[in-house]
Amino acid sequence: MSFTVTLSNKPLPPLLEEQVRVRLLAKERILVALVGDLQLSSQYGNSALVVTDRRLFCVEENATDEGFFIDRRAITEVKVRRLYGNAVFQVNGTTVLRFSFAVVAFAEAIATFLSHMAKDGANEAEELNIITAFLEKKRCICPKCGRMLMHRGAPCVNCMNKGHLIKRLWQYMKPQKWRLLFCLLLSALTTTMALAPPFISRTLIDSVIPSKNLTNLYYLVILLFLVYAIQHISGALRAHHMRVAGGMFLTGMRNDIYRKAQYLPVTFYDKTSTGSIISRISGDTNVLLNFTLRMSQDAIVQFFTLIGIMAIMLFMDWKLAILSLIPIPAVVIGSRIFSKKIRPIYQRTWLRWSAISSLLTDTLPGVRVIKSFTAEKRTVEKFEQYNNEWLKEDRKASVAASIFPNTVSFFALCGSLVVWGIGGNWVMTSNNISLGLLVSFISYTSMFYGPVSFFANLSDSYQNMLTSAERLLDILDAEPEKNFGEGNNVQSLRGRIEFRHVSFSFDKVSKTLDDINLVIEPGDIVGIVGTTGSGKSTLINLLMRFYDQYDGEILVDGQDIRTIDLESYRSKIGFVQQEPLMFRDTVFKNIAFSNPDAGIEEVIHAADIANAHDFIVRLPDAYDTVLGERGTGLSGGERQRLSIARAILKNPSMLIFDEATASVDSETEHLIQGAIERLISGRTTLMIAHRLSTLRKANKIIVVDKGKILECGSHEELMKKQGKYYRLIQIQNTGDRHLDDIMR
Amino acid sequence: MNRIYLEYDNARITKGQDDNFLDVELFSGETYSGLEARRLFPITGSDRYISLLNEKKEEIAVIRDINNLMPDSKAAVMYALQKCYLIPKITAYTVVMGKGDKISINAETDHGPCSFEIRGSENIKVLYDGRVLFCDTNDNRYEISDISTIDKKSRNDLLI
Repeated sequence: MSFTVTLSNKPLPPLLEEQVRVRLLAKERILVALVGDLQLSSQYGNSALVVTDRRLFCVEENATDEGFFIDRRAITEVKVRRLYGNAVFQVNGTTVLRFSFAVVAFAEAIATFLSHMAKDGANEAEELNIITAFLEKKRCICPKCGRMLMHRGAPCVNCMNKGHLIKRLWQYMKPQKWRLLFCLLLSALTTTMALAPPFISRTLIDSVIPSKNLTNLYYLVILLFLVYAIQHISGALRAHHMRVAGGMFLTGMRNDIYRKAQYLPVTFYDKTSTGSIISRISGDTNVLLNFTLRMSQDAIVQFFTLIGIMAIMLFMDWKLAILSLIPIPAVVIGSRIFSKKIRPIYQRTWLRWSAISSLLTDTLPGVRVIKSFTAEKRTVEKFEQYNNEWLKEDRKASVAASIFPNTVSFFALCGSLVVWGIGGNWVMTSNNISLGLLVSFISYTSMFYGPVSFFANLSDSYQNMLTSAERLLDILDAEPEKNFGEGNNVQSLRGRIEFRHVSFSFDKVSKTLDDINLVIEPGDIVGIVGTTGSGKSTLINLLMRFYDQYDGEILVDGQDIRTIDLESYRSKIGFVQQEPLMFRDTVFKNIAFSNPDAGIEEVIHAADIANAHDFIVRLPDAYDTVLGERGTGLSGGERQRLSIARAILKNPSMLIFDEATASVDSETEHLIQGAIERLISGRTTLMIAHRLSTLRKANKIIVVDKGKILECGSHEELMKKQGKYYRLIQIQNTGDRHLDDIMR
Repeated sequence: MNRIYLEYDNARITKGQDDNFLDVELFSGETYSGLEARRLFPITGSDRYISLLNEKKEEIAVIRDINNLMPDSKAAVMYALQKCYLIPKITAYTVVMGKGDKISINAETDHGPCSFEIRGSENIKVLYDGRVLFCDTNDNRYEISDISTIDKKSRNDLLI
């Protein structure tokens, strides 16, 4: 019997396909099949879970038993339980299939389908759409590297044929091509001038001095002077222009990296330490600068010198020229071995340095925490440990980087010794070559090994550059925040928010949000409460579009937020965080950060509404006060009021407060509350709050627990319900009473 | 908060209806079924502090040390842990460097042959006892028991 499987995570392997075929009943139709990668015994091996129009069955490749069968009408409960490194599919409490996390999401889609179908009145075709939608989404992922594509079949930026790394870097040099061409011409001139002196010396030794011709002697000395002058003037000009080109190359690259870093998704920063990014922008670009300068100052000249000398040497005496080339193979082979050895050492050195940078980024801004826990000694010890690990790797790199160039130089010198020995013998025993020719030949030989040595050593800095360039391209090629709705701008938002079956997981192990369904009407003031880790902030993070990889839909004014232009969307939302970040700039510019075009009076007005103006006026430099790093110099409440002023200046359609008053005293909270109340009027507002007093203005309260919405309603409704919200209120009231007792 | 610690004979632990999970009968007479065994220190102390979670992932009790349980209970817990935790031990492998920070590994493990991909060296951890742990792009875990068995080329490729 032949059969087709349209909904499947991958095609059934032939052996498994055969096992499925023999199990199918007459006219039985397969709806969906999951091809697993583990067997029930936890051994790797193909397995399949097949859902047909009548039954569900599981088979394992090479299994001797019949496997699991169940009539679909007998299914009452279906679950996927995520374990550690694997998950199981349970039907009516029995584990029927085991698989790794590679297929767990698809298994969950099937479990949802079966659970829905177990309920009365479910429409099979509609429910199958869940699985179809899941597979569609999967197909929007690059099969090679797993990155999300702009749309199905779109080219993947990561896997595009980018050619050689250098070719890619050339893009940054391209704007400087005319300058580079000019430098090349200067290089040719410099090289020609550098090659002339030994030739002139030969004429001086062999003809002019023996013939005692003073006129020719002076002519040749003046000629030598002119040659040296042109060589050095053109060299200086070239050095200047190449440095400018190198600098512009780096400026372009740094700008691009920083620009890209601003548009990278939050998930990138979740996985990559800021220290590592800073080290790439500062350290790695510098490595490229050094390499570019090395290339610009020397490589081109050395290349032309090498070619020129070889041509002259072959022209002067081909036999001596061949003798002098004897050490070349040793140099080339050695260079290749060296390249392979040094690269991982450089990568490891960089990793150690990146760890140091991360530690610095963490500990220096957190110096108050370190001091308050008297952790200075521990922190210093950790830093020393990281530093010593870096030193260990750097020593290895240093050993490799020092031995090799000197070995090359030694071989190069041996080459000139061969020319001295054999060439000197020829001068003494035969008249084939003159003394002048030998002397100028020796000069050329020593000049010849200069470039050879240079190119042999170049592999060191080339490898170093390659490692750095790869890391920079890692940022440059990283996928930016997906802006699927680019160009779909919104003028303003009414503020109707709807979460439809939204589920989200950070780590694929546990769901942070699980099937969230929620409607917020325009102008609603919604309080979100729940214990720490309940999923409150994640709900906001999804609404802010910090994470787009969730199941279900979030609609604002009926539009899926993923289809709206990202910049346009975020510009309509005011976001006040628990720990407001201030920049090292004036108070004025910190407020105007949300709207740099705002006039002075607008900023003052915003500060006034935010209850910030009064304390700003009391600062000696008022709005011109330069705040320290992260806003030092201001209290937590003052920083918070500045951040509210920022939000006011933005004039957003929707407002989000993430525990805006969590870390301030009651009096400051009162001031902030006043500011918030003035700000939220008429705007859809979401407020996460620990202090329930903060929510007195909310007309709707959502209680989130373990990623699910437990309760939703007004304060009165929820109090009447006597559920989780009621208990939270009771706990806080008890706490307040205790506080009152203490205060009395 | 009163946490229930299980040790010696203050609980009887048996295999559940689904043998991936456990049934527990406390000394006080309370019974729980279908509990999941979760190591609190899966990397540093695999036999100590095992949390028993119900289906809602709420902790019911904690086993202080598996070795202090009654033999039958110990066997049941060991079996459930073995079923729940899949960290294949790699016995042979080839490492293929990919683009950027992607590393592909074809491995022979004690659970059979498999292939996986790692992104970034932060997903490779060398522990003080010489174990090397890998976390692949799907969050699956793998282990090499002894770093000294890794050849020089692979160590270079894995940057360890």
